[in-house]
This record gives sequence, structure tokens and C-alpha cells, in this order.
Amino acid sequence: MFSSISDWLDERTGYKALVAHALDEDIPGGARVVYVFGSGLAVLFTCQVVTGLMLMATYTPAVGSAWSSVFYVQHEVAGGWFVRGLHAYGAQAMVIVLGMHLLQVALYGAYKRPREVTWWFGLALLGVVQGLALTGYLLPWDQKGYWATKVATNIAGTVPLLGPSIQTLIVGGADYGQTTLTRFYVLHVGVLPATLVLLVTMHIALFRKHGATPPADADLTKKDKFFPAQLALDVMFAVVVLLVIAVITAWTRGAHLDAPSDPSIDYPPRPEWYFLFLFQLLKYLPGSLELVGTIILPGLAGLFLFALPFLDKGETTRISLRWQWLAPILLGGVGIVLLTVQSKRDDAHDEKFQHAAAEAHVRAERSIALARNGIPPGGPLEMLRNDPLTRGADLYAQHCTKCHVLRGKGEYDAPVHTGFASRAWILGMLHDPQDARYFGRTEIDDMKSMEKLGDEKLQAVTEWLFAQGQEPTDPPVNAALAAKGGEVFKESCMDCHLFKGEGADTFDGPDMTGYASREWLEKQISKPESIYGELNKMTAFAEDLSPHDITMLALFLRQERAATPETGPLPELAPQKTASK
Amino acid sequence: MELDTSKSRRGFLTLLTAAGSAVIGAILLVPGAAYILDPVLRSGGTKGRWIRVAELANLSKDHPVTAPVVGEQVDAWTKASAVRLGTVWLRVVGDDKVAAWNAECPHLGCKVGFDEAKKSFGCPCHDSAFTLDGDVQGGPAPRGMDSLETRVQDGHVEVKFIRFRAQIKEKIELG
Repeated sequence: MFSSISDWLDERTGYKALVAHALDEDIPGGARVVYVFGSGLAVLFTCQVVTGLMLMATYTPAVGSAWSSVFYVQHEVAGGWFVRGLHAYGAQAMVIVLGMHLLQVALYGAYKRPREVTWWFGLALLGVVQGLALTGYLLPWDQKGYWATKVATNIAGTVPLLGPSIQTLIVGGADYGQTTLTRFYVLHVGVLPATLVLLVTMHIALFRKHGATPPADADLTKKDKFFPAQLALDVMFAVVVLLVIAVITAWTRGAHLDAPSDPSIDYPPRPEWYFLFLFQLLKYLPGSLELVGTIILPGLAGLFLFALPFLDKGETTRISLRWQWLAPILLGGVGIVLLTVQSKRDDAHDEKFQHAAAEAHVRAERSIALARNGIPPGGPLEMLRNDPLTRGADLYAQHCTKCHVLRGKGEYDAPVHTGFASRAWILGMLHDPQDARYFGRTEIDDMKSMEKLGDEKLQAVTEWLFAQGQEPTDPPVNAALAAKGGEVFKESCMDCHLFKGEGADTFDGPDMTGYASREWLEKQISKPESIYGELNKMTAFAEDLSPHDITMLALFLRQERAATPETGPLPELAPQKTASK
Repeated sequence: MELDTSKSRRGFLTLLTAAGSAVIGAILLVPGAAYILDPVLRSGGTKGRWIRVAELANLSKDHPVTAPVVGEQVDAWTKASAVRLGTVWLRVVGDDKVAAWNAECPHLGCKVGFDEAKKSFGCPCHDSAFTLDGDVQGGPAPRGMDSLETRVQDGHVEVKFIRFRAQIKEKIELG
């Protein structure tokens, strides 16, 4: 049955002869493990096409939704994280296997006459694969891709004379945006893969024309056919590579997705590891010599590889007789490895980088957590702008850390915000308002210690003050204790403090109505003098920040209410006896 | 590396090649199949919610009125709060009682219109026709127009908007 169908088909297509021709290739000197890299690359590229097409079924190349669609692949679509992981790590595997392929061909002298053109097609393929890698990681439009691409395209801009035009052409204008993304997308899924297929076709056709290059001491009487001996080795190699990729994907739960790209947020950009050596090289070159690292050295390396068949002209493929031509390649390889290792080591020892990377990680995690509840039509940046934890933290770092300390960051010039308006913070403040953690570093020196009230009453007032900022979604307060505290406040505090329009008989102290509630904090941030009067030194942010941003800051600060000495270390709340005025 | 090409060796290598190819295929196809089939594996439909669509005062007994249904929609990764989910036909059928039909034709989903002259609903695609009560009057529609639950609150009509599978006799919720 099967043979009659295949005969029918063969009569009409002649496919059997085609398959036989494909498999029936002579391997002079026999099948070898070192010949597996070319086929391995073909399998890897096929996998990239398959996984790439799948990703294309979800991905949208638009700045407002690219990140969202990749998030969707990574965290919502069944198996999406695995498909994306295979694609991302598969790309890195291609770079590695390509390096091994190049090294093998160089060591075996397989670029020599008459295989020069095969070699050149191989070099062109190296360029195309690098182009695919470079264009690929911009596509998620996350911080990593965005910043790394900015660096890469700026390097393209350093090319003498044509550089700026080339850069504008790639970027699609002066600014990074929609045209950049669309251009990279078309390069990545259309132009470069099509070019690669064309080049590979020529590369393989020429390879078949000239055959493999056996080592100098090979026994040429021994002959294998491509099928089955070499093909079995090739397939086994591909299996090993794919299993490694699959294991790494499973181990890391797929490729990382950074926070949505935002040019206004600090980010420590690093290229993918296989471009790190170039990145590192630029650190050692002063500005005037930058071209050496970006254009001249890579250009010379390319030129050397291109010219290699003409430089190493002898008949012999024996390595010992060609060391002067192989040495530059090996030295280059060692240089690349050393620079890559040094770059990783630099970063590992760079506290600033580690810190920035950790912050970027927090932002990425938060973005993903938010996106799980659905991304607004305005996109992921709108989502983050409306998140107090993200927007509030950004604004805090920008505007507040010049005077306040929160969780170890900032300047001690005003009350510490770690645990701000939590029970612990309030109680500590009542004990010693002039401590450096509270008002000790401000002009506000009217309030004296309330220790004379005794522990019981202090606890009650603390609970009452804490209850003032209570919002419906907050955890409950001890109502009985708070009520008692209210009495204490009326008796002992309202000479100076205002509450619901009453009090402040002898002194015009802060209004404690709704203390540390969202509205109270908004008022405190936008018009602090309305709370602290003329002793206030804090900047009024009503003009600098939009009402939305002030709300984000207020909500961000309100989180500190939940802090307790038990739930987390509050180092800034440890007594500081260095109150200075 | 020495490789024998005797028959058993050849058979073994062929088997190895086939097995290896199967492993490569499986690594791609198992997650790939899940990925492609995701929409089928995903549960959750329109889940009827009460949505306010019109004011009772604007409706009548003899002239059905069409109204857009605007509500929250989750479309892949996007969650939008005011999206047009579809259209309903509304007609008063008693005191504070309103009948509502999903305007999607139960035949193949085109948007059903109303013919004032004939006093009947009609589909512009394949000429299915429905009475004022939504029953099939002619054409290929397999069932009457899909009626929806309604209620009147503070003078406003609310419908529980649900979409149903087209082309079958039974009314089966989509999703």
C-alpha cells in the first residue's frame, strides 16, 4: 500500500532520486563528530523559524502593546514561556554553534582553494545571524531591549561620514519609537531570515559541490556516505543542543522579560552576553579612540577572515604549518572570552550596577504582577503611571530623597519615612519628637516629648492617631483603644493641635484631622505650610507635581503605615541619639 | 571516528537518526501544540453581566429600538472598561417589561435589522426574517433571535448580555 503510493508519487515527482541524492554524499576520510556543526545550525535555524512563527501569532510590533503581547506569551498563553524560551536560548545557541563551526572550518583549513566562496557565504551568514540576534531583543520593547538597542544604533552612528545617515535609517528617524520597532521587526522576521535562507542555500550548494575537508592525516581510502553515518552524528548533536536549550528554558522558566521601556527611568543597559566583549572593549578606549573599538577592530577582524584564503595560500591543511594564520583567530577568540569574563566580573563587583539591576528587577516583577490583572488600553506605561508602588516610588526617588530617608535611601534632613505613620513611628515620635528621626532636623521645635502621659495613654493616643488615616481597605484598628486615645488627645494635645475645626487654643499646631490619610498626605505634599505654618521648610509640590502624581506619592507613602518592627527591619527607627540642630 | 557500515550498524544508525529526529520534533511540538491550542484550552465565556442599555421612556411596543451594549472587555492582554460588546434590540412587552434580543443573527452572525414596513426583523446577509417576538418567519436561520434576560431599574433597562453559538437549533452560550 505504502510502496504503491510512493511509487505513484515518485513517477510524478521523482522525489526518490532527490532524497537519494541528498543522502548519498561521499564523506572522504569517513564521518566525523567535528562535521556536525553545519547541520546543527540548520536544525537550530529551523527551530527558530518554527518558534518564531508561533511567537508572531501573538506578538504585535507596536510600541503601545509590544511589551503587553510578550507578557501575554510569557505568562498567559499555554506553553508560551517555553516557546519563547526555546526561541531566545536557541538564538544564543546559534551564536555559540556558529563560533564552533567557524573554528572547525578554520582549523581544518576548509576555506582553502577551491572553497573560498563557501567560506565567504559562511562569513556573510555570521553577519546575518548577529543581525537577527541584535534585532530580536528589541522586539519586546522592554527596558533591556530598548537601552541595549539605543547603544547599538549609536555605535552605528559613529561610522565616519555615513554614520549619522545609517543611524537615522535604522532608527527610522531621530527618535526611538514606532518606526524603530517596525523596522527592526521587518528586519527580524522578513529581510534577515529571507537573506539567511538564500545564503544558506548557496552555502550548502557549494559545500555539496566541494565536499567536506578531511584533516591532513586522514585515511582517504576510508569513505562514508552522509546517510546514515554522518547524519546520525549530526542528529545526535542537534538533540544534545536542543535538550540543553530545553533544560535551560525549563530551569529559568523561560527568557526574562524586563519592565516596559521608559526613557525616563534609570536603567543599567548591557548587551546580550555575546556582544559583551565589544561593550567591555569600549571601556578601555578613550573617546577619541572609540572608533577603534566600534569600527576599526571589528572591521579588521572581518577583513582578516575574508582575506584568509588568500593569506593562507599553501596546499597543506596541517595545523602546525599554518599556525601564523590560525593564531590571530585563536587570539581573537581568547580576547573575546577574556573581555566577556572581565565584563561580568566588573559588573559583579560594581555595587552601583548591582543596585540598579536589582531595582530594574523589582520594576519588572511589579510590571508583570500588575499586567496579570489586565493591561489598560493605554498600554503598560499607563498601567505603571497609575500604580502607587511604581509611580510613587519613582516620584519619591526624584523629589523626596533629597531630604527624607526611606528604607536606607536618601538624606537625613527631615523626618525619616521608613515606617512613616505606622504605630511604631507615631509612638516613637510621641516619645521624642525632637529626635533626629522625627523633627530633630527641622525648624519645627515646638513639640515636646509626651512621655509624661505614661505608656498606657501614649499607646492609646498612638492607636487613635493611627486610626485617623484609616481607609476602608486597611487592616482593622483597635477601636476601643483608639476611643480612649481620642479622650487623651482632647485632654492633652488640643491646646496646640487642631482637630475637626476645634482646639489649637494656645498655639497654632498642625491639624490632625484625618492624619496620614490619603487626603492629609496630599495636603502635606502639595501645601505643607498649611499644616506646619511658618516653621515649615518643606517644598510645596502643588505647582511642580500634577494632582495625579501627588496622589500617587500619598498612596505610596501610606504603605509605610503597615510597617511594624516585627514585619521587617526598620533600621532608621532604631534610636538615633545624634539629634542636631 | 571509525564507523562500520555493515547492515546491523546501518540499521542502528538509521534508528538513531529517526529517534533523534523524534526527540527534536517533540521538543518543538509539545509546547507548540499547547501554544497553538491555547484558545481552545482557555475557559471562560462572556459570563452574562447586567449592563444598562437604555432608558425605558425611550422604548415602545411597536417600534423595536436598537441599543449598543457597552461594558468591560478583556481582549487578550487588554482590559478595557467601556467597550462596545454588541448590540441588542429592545421592545416593550408589558408594564415595566422589556424584551431584548441579541442583534446577532443565529444563522451566521450578521447584524439583524428591522423593517418598519413589514414590521419584522430581517438579516441583511441571507434574508432570515423574524417576527416582532423574534420567532423565525423565513430564511435559513435555525432558531429565533436570541432573547436575553432583562430588568428595569430606576427607569433604565438592563440586559444580561450573552452571545450564543450560531448555526444550531439550540441556544448554547459561547465561550
